[in-house]
Amino acid sequence: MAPENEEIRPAERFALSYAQPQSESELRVEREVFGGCIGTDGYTTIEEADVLLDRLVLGPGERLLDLGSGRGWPGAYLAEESGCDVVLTDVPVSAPREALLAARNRSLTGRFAAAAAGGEAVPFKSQAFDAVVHSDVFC
Amino acid sequence: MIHVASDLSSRDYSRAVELGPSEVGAREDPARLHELAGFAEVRQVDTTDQWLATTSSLIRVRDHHERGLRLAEGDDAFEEEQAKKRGLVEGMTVGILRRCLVAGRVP
Repeated sequence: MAPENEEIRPAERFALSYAQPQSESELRVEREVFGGCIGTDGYTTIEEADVLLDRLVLGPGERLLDLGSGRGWPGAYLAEESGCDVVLTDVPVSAPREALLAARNRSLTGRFAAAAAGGEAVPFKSQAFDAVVHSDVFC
Repeated sequence: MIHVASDLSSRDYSRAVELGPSEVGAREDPARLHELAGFAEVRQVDTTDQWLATTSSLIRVRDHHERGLRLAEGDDAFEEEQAKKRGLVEGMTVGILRRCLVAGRVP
């Protein structure tokens, strides 16, 4: 088992990172590598998110849970493209807060919620979701 | 998800765990882990080559924007992130780490 300080450090770093808007340099990196400002801090490309979209076959009225969503990639994108509802979760409260702010600029009104929660004990009833995604959570 | 390649020697497995994400160490492949967790119709698509292209580009572009990223992230975080990515690329390139997409259904 890793020493306790090594377990805490990434969470603190993520909390600090999500507490502030992405800098212009970070947005430039996203645009140049991923082809747009998608709100990712992982490796999942738009093409990979489209594969998930095809596999999950979600539609209006269905509910998607994105575990470890960070700023909302790819859960918010999957909801936007499929018409489903989405709930984003991540450990630092600043991550879903950022995602909520970003959702105001997308066509997700009324279909979007976010919660500060880890994957080991999600605060939802069993069978509450039609699909679950997690992307680059350990990376 | 990033995972350790299957059928590695003890030495390669140790190196994969060293280079890989801190919580990644399972010897079973991700599809099998999802089946063990109760999912059905599990399909795994290897995306290692695409990941290598994306991450190599990410390292290069982050280096290009180093000055601004150091200001935003801090020197230590920038260097740790670049070193982590380079380690992952090394592991993927020599074949001891893999990246895949996994989809399954609740039975």
